[in-house]
Parts: sequence; C-alpha cells; structure tokens
Amino acid sequence: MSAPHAAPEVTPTPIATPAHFPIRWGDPMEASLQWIRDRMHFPHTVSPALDLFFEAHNAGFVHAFALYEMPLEGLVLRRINGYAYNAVVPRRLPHDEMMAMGKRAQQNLGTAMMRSAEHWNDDLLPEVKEHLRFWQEADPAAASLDALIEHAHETRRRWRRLWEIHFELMVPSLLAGSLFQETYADLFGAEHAFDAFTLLQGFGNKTTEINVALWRLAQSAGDDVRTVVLDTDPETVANVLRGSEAGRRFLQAFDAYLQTYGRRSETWELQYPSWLEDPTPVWRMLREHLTQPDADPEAELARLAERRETALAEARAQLAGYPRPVVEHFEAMLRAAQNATVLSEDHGFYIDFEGAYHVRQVLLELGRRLAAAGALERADDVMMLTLDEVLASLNDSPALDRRALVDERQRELAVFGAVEEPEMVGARLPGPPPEDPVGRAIGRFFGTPPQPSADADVLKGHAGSPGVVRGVARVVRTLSEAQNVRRGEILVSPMTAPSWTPLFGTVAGVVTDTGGVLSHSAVVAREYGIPAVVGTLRGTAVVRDGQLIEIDGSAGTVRLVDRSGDLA
Amino acid sequence: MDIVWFGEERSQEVALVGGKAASLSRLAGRYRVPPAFCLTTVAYETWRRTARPAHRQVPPPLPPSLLAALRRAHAELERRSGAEPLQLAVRSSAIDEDGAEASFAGQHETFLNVVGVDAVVEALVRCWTSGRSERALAYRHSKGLDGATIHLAVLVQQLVPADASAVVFSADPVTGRRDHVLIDASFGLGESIVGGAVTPDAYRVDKGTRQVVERSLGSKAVMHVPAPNGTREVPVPRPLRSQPALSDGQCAACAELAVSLEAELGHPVDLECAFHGGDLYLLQCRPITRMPADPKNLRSAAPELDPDHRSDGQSPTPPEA
Repeated sequence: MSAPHAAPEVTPTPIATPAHFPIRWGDPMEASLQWIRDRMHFPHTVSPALDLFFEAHNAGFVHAFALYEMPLEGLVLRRINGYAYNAVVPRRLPHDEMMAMGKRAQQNLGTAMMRSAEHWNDDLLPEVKEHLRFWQEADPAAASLDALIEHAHETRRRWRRLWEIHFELMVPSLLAGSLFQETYADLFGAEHAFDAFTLLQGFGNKTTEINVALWRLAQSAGDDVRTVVLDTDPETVANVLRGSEAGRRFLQAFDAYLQTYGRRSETWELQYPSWLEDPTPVWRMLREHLTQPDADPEAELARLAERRETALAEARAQLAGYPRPVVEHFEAMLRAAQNATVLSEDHGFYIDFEGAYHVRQVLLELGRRLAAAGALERADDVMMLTLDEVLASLNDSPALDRRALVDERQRELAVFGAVEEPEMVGARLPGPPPEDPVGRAIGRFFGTPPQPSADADVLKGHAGSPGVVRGVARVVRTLSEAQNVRRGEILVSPMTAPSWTPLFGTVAGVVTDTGGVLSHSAVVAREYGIPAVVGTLRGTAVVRDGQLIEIDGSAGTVRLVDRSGDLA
Repeated sequence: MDIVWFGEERSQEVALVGGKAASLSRLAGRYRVPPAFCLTTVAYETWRRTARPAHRQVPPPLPPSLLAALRRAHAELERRSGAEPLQLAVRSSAIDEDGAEASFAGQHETFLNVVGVDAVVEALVRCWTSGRSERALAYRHSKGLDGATIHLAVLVQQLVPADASAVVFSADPVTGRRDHVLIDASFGLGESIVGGAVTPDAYRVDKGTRQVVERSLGSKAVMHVPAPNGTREVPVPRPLRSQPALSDGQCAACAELAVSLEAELGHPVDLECAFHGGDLYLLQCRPITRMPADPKNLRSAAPELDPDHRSDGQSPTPPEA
C-alpha cells in the first residue's frame, strides 16, 4: 500500500470584522469556516427561536451528504448577531479519499435524481404526512405541562427528520436542474442555455395550485360579496360578510381554503403568523384576483405547457440522428429536471411551511405557559428564546424569569438590525470554490456575484425568467409592504419566499437581490410566465421606489429608464 | 463492370476497387459490414475518356448509362439498408498500375452523410476530379509517376449513425502482448477518435475471458454527428462525458470481433467499428504494422528480460506482500 496523498494544505485567512459587528465564536472550528450571509432565505434579522430551525436544517444536510457519500460534512446555518449566515463544512479526509468519494457521490446522486419523483411520492411524502398528522392531531393547549414538554421534544425530533427528508430530496433535485441546463447548453449552444427552462415550465405545482384555488374562490364570489371584499378593509371584511347569507357562504369557502392552504407564513422564520392565524394577506390577494377576472392562472399554465411541448418537439427534431446514448441522456435529464422543478415547490408546501407552522404553534403554547407563570411578558416573546432556554425555564419551579433576557435580546436585535452586516465573516478559504457539478448547482441556487456593469444605468443580475418588460418599480422589503404593489408594476425585493407567490400573478416582472436561476423566485416567475432578474445583489439599494425600469429576464439586466424616482 | 457490390466475387479484386474495399468486401459475407457498392476503376476510365482536353477545368458529366446504373444501385442500397433516409459515406482510393494502393496526398477523398442520389453523383465526380487535381498531378510527377497510370475506385457505403465508435487492436501494438485486446472508444462517429479531436476512453480486455481488465475514461469533450451535407463537431453534454462510451458487454463484443478476425486473417488486426441500435458494425480491418514481438516469447528466449507487467496496471503479485 502506498501512502495516501496528504490533503492539500488549506489555510483559511481570518476575515477582519467591522467594529460595529463584533463576533463571539463559540467554537474555534466555527471561526475557521467561511460564513456567507444568507439573504435569500433570511433577508432581515432573525430571532433566537430560529436556532431550532437551524438545528433541523443542519442535521438535514449532514444526513443528505452522508447518504449520498458527498465529500462535504455539512452546509450549516447559524445566527451571527441576529443575521443568518451559512457555511460549507468540508470533510477532513486525505485528498485521494476525497476524490474517490466525489466519484461515488456523483454516482449516488445520479441514481437518486432519476427516481426522485417516485421516491418522493412513494416513500418520503407519506412519511412527511405522517409527521404532519402527528401535529394536526395534537392539542398542545389542552396538554398538561409535562405532556407539552414531551410534545416539544417530539416536535424537535420530527422537525429534524422532516429536514433530513428535505435535503434527501432536494440535493439531487437541485443537481438535476443544474445538470440539465449544462446538458442543454452543450447540445444547443451556450447562447441558448436559458431556453432549457422552457422545457421545464407549465407543469404546475403546489405553489401554483394555491393560486389557482384562490382564483377560483374569487370567481365564485357573487356581485354583493365582490363589492364587500373590494370596499372593506381586510381586517374587518369577515365581520361584514357575516351579515349576509351569501357572505356567510363565501366565508365558509374562504375558511375551507385556509384550512387547506393556510399553514404558511411570510418566510422560513417562525415569528410571522400564518394565513390561518392572520388571513389579511389572503384577503388582499383575493382583491387582486377580483379586480382582474381575466388573469386566469390555469389558462396561463396551459399556455406555458403548450409552449413547452412546441419547444420540446423542436429540440427532439434537432437531436434526431444524434448518438443514442446522447439522446437517452437528454431525455433522462429532461425527466429528472422536470420532476425536480415540480418537487422544488411541492416539498416546501409540506416541509418548509406546514412543518414550520406546527413548530410555531408549539412554541407559542410554550410561550403562553411561560407568560402565565410570569416568566415572559407576552407569549410571543418566546421567539426571543431558544428552545433549550424555554424548556429550562419550564422545568424550573417557579419558572425561571426570562423577561430581562428577552429585553436584552430585543435591544441587541434592534442595534444589529440598524447596522449593515458584513457579507462574509469567519475565515476566507484560499482559492476559488471547487469547480464541480455540485458546486455549480449551489451557485445556480444561491446565485454567484453578477458581472460588473459597464453602463451606469444598467444593473446586472442573473437571467431568472425570460422576457422584457418595462414598468414602475415597487421596492418591497417585507411581504407586508407588498400591499402597495399594483398590477403591471415590477416587484423589486431582497428575495421572494414561496408564500409571496400570489404577487407574481399581479406584477409584470420581478427583480431580486439574491438567488440564481434555480432559486424559488426564478422557478416561480417562469411558472407565471413573467420576466425575472435574480441575484442583482444591489437591486433594492439601487432601484428607487416608483422609478421606471426595464428588465430583460433572459439577459439578466435591469435598466433604469428614468431617474425621476430619485426625486421621490 | 462499372459497379460491383460487396459480397460479389469481382468486388474483391484490388485492381478494380482498391485494397481497402477489396479486403472489407471479403469479410462482408460473414461479418456485419454496412452494405456498399464500388464504382470501379473501369467506371473511372469510362468517365475520364469522355473528358476533352479543351475542357480540362470542367468536370465532364457522367455518361448516361453509368448514371442510370448508379441510380439503380442507389435504390438497391436503400432497399438493403432499410434506412430512411439513407445516409452514405463516399470514399475514393487510388490504385497504381500494378494494383497497389497509392496513399499519397489528394488520392483519398471522403464525403460523409451524403443523402440522395444527386448528392452521390456530386461526391463521386469530386472524388474523381480530385485524383486529377493540379496538386495531385504535381505530386505524382515529382514521384516520377505518370498521371494517366493512376486509377481511381470509389466506395459508396451506408454510413452507420454510430451511437459510439471504436478503434480496436487485437494485440497490444506498444508492448507486443498478444493476450489483450485494446479498445479506444468515444460517442458518435469515429472521426473524433481517428482525427484526434477527443481523448477517447481506453479499455483493455482480456482475450481469453473477454473481461475488461483496465478502463481509463477519456474526456470525450466533443463528438461528430451527421449534419446536412456532412458531419458536425458538437460538445458531448458535460454530465455524459464521465460516463463510459461502451458497456462491458460492448467491450466484450469488440474483443470477440477482433479475436475472430485475427484468427481468420492469421495476423494481429486493427479495426474500426461502430455500434448502432445494439449492433456492432465492422467498418475497416487492417493488419497491425510493425507489431513488436510478443514479450512472452521474448521471456522464454531471454528470461533475464523481465516484461513490465505493471504497464497494464495488473501487477502479478502485490508489492510488499
């Protein structure tokens, strides 16, 4: 046996942190990682309760990387001064073993991506539904304290398992989308690479289903109901509707809609109420649908599907006479990528959002118990504590008072929320990230730094969804700000979570600061057939609210048409 | 005698069809060789005599009887191949007065993916004309060869739209080992291997067991595919490049073919072949020239010469055992 090659010496260079952003590293290993700000999922500061999510998320990646024998230990998220950062944790293995592992991972992922739809439908989704049923059937409010604490432990275990399933599904799916784009670019020319996505569109998914169902609900409204919904404040509209027979019938249908689709909130965070808890955003979207009865989302999907089939017939004609392994490869990658596109939205409905909804309900009940015991001012202050702190308090008798800690944390969050957080902290890895299929897939999801623009009036990002459109920019940093968005305007935001999706039926185009061609924003924009430029880094900083802009979703550019917005 | 078919007796006459076509024709009955016919040196002579000195620069048209025969042959080839549309390879070879293959500049033209009888006529005339080009004539003159004594034969053969192509050696032409078959393979038509456009996969197959004993996957960045009026070099999709071009079963089939041809011809051979739709087609078969002596024989003659067993990655005994 010859001695294995030693791993190349990797010496991370510590990154100097600005004075306003001092970092206390718990573990020296953490300080040696390259932490990148995750604005795509967490554009704003996050509360300590989210550590529970990070724990599940990180366990999920460890599971998936081990399952597929990937040469990475994990992809970890953590809170640093109130902001979410992520880092890749490499496996500490000799170089030879890393290379061998990389090959095995390629094999394993290749096999997995070809059967991800079956795996999801036959194995994973039934298990996910079983976990969700556990929460649906539980009644934390009625539970004894001991039972509630046990329920919290079980919630923690099941949530971790949900995120293991999440990445078991999503790692190969993400790779499938990325590899299909590479296959398409090689076969049809790099200049047409973006057309690959035409072949993936129009299938519909859980996210478009939510919108179609709401559109149908809007169509079912009679003239009286229609007038009430359009003329009444979303906060009081339910009360007004209760006053009439037609109104009550509509409310019943509305509640049924919420029961089916309402277990989702603004982002992946836990502090936002779900639609079931506060249906205001649903009333707003309903109004939009009522004002535009012609914007039938089902017809739009059918149109996209028709375009897809036309494009596919052309692609297949071009490949006639190509070597059979190449044609078979194209067809296999196409199927894998089409499935991945649907799965990239469907899994989120169950895991990302309904899962988080149930966890939030458990945390809020714990908060109510702490508030009742005088350990918290308000039940939802529980979001300022980690689950371990909550459980420690409840296990104490009398419950350990956390009010001062909550105050301190809130002050701290306010301080850090007001400063500009660094893009990267920890230690810089030497050299560029490894050039491999997985690395490229991650880049296409999170986005890579855009090319600098030579034209001061042009902002560059990544192609997200094809088409050119001109319109008034509406800069929106949180979903609640989105109530000002009008039909035909262009949404400019840090990111868009799947729950922002109904907005895509209203706006003429989308510009995001974060994400790549495989990000949620891009996937959903393509399913709505509206242009999108993603990953501009600075869109919300450069574009002024009300400014006229023109976006080219295929070129990935945003042109500032007039600068009159500057005067606003 | 203008046109002869593979499998016919006359198509094995070197003076009529050239050496390569003659040897391939001899194998056509027993091996899967794509169907083909040859425009013989006689046809070339007929056409050449119709050329008037005053019109040297303009290639003369095909004599009507030859054109009619060519049309009939094309229709027959369509029938035999069953391919729709029929894609053809049209290749010329030059033959000296004494019947030997002449292999110098301008003597060998190849047109790939020729579709339709009109295109065949055009390719044929270009093959014939190239044999009389200024460059070819000057070259022959410099070699002391009279242009008039050179004859041209043209092979018209079904082009197999290869899923993967392979060059196979029935023995190792570098070490001289006779117990291994060596295969270079890549996706698409064989041009990319023969022309050096790709680093192909390299397989080493044990002659006795037909097992792949060594496999080194090449980068296979590009492939040649049929395109209107020829072929086109296009990238192999990146995720496919790391996949082997041949399965173990296909490697065994290549080895089988090489072993059988070697036995039949009585010397180590070098083949070009192609897989299409699960079938292995033989496209060319030549003796391996300058084959080194078998190291096994060397060893018995001179035991102090230890053959380098490690060159194939198969050490007979583990080191430090």
